[in-house]
Amino acid sequence: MATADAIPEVNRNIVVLEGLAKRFAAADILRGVNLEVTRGEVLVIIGPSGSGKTTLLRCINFLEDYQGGRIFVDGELVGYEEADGKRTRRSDAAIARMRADVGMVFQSFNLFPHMTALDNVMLGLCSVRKLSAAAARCSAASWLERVGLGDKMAAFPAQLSGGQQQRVAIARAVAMEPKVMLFDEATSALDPELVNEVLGVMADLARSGMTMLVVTHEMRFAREVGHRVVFMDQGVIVEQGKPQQIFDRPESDRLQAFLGHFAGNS
Amino acid sequence: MPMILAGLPLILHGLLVTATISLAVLLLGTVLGIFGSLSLLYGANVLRWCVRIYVDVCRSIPHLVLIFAIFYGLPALGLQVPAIVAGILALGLFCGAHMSEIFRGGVESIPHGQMDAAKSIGLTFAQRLRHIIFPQALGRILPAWVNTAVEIVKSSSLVSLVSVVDLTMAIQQIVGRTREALLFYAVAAMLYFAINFTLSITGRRLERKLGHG
Amino acid sequence: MYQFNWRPVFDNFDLLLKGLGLAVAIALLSLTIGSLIGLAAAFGRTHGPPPLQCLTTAYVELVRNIPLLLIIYFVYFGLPLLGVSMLDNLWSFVLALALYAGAYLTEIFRAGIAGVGKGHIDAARSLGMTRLQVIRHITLPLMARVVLPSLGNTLISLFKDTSVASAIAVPELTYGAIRINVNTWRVIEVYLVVAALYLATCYAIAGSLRWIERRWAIVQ
Repeated sequence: MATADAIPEVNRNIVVLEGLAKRFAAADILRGVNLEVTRGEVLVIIGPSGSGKTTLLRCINFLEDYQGGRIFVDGELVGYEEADGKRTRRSDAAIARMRADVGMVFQSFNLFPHMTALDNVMLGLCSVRKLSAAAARCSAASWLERVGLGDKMAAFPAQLSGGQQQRVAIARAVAMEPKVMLFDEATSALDPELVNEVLGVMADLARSGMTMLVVTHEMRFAREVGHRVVFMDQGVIVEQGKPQQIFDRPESDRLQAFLGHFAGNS
Repeated sequence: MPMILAGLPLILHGLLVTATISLAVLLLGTVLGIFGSLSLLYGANVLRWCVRIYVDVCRSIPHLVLIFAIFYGLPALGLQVPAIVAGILALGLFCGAHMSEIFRGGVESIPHGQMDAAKSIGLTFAQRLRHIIFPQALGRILPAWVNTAVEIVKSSSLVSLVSVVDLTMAIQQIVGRTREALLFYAVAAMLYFAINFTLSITGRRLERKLGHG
Repeated sequence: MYQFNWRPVFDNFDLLLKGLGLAVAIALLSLTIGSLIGLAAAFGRTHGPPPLQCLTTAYVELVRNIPLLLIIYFVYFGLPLLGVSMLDNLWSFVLALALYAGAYLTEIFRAGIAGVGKGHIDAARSLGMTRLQVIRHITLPLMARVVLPSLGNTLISLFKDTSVASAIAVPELTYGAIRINVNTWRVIEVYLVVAALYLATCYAIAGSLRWIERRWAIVQ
């Protein structure tokens, strides 16, 4: 990614979590998560449902607020300002600015149904990155070509398959040239035969040097594309390490039990 | 037939007054509805409760009671308003309550995931309203809005009871003079029907044009 | 500054209560008569011959697009000219409101009839039931539970519409307010009290309906 090369190495860690804690309706969803993600790293997060993986991602781009700990994206505290030990919520505009630098791809795609694929990708470029319509169209078109949908630019989401919709969603997020991309179970809602086309795009993105946090059940993707795998359970990181280490030599009981469900899948 | 022609000027005057009142009420109601729905959706708790009370009260009292209350009440408080203004104010408040609910429903029917996606590409609240919420809510709101317009045209006839010369009052005056009740009530019915039926058809056509996604 | 004086209103409170009672009675009566009209028209629309379908469509479209006040005037001032002169102002209003309600109820019942699952009808027919028997034993009972909420909302609407009866001097609640106002000029007090009475009654009706719905609910 051009941005990664142009900016001097002020922060090696794009995302830093310090003791992240989140509570919702009397339940502790995240109980003190510590994590550092370096530039260009592909981090895969696995774990049983309810472990807090999705909430973790949603906190990073402040779609969910958090009560304890800190989140830093490229050195900046996410969502709050701290002064004299008091924490206040940032303004809507400041939060929006931060979110523009963090791309997210959702399980249910969430494309805007009243806009074509091209318009979906262009919206952020025009309204947030303030590109001219011509420049936005150019960039959007090239991203759609890059994900293999150059011939579907004028199509509405309803006319696209699930895999195609998700690829448009990826293009929409990546066209913003974010510092980090978050993938929240991007292939879980897809029919099996469509999963690979999306994983292919994600692998391509990883090869180009994008920093990625990927929540997924696709263990083969984790092994082949991931640089580090993190196992979460009940709101904490239980174990982490290189893919071979996690999958072939799991240390904790909980991880062994979890991987047991996927026997034959990696 | 010559009798209808004789009454025509008064009928046209009444028609004009009815149209004016209806448009004024719709305008007032739509503006109140925008503020009301935004308050219900995004406002602070106190604001939301106030609007909630406003909407629930309007849903539970008859239009005529508020018209009389404002028409007789404002002068008692020292404010002299013409009857037509009292009527527009009263009906406008009802329309505003109705519109608040309609607009709120239209926005809430947009799937939540789209809000997440819009937030995650960095759109501010105003941008989300403009690009994502408004275009989609419009198609869903339009049929209900047109129905409300039809109801307003019908409710406008109540201002005749505070002596505003709208279409209904005009017809009553003509009937009082000519005693041709059946003929002129039929004329009035046809006129109201023409207005409202046209509104409904236009609404349905607009809905089809805007109705994609 | 306006001086509040609630005495005159509460001295005449019995007038208001009688008016309230009459309003509720009128609403229930119009709902009943209107339901008979609506049921007939709904079945006419779904099961009847084309001319009947046209007639009911015309009735519904006409009544739904003209003001209630006009219908009241037509019944009260117009019908006597056609020879129908036995209706006083109260019964003229009841008839007018019933005709008005009937148009809306036709649509409610039509939706209710359409909502009865075709599977139930098929099962009944295959047992050998005639069309009339199917209507009596299957369609009507199933439809009744589906339309109940809409009927309740219609009742509340009709209750509020009774205020228009004051235009032809029917002694319901709004007319009572007008009379007290004319006699005592306690404008704000009387309309506040009357508004509160309408509000309380609407909530009472809504609450009773929810109670009935809960008792009568069937597991779908």
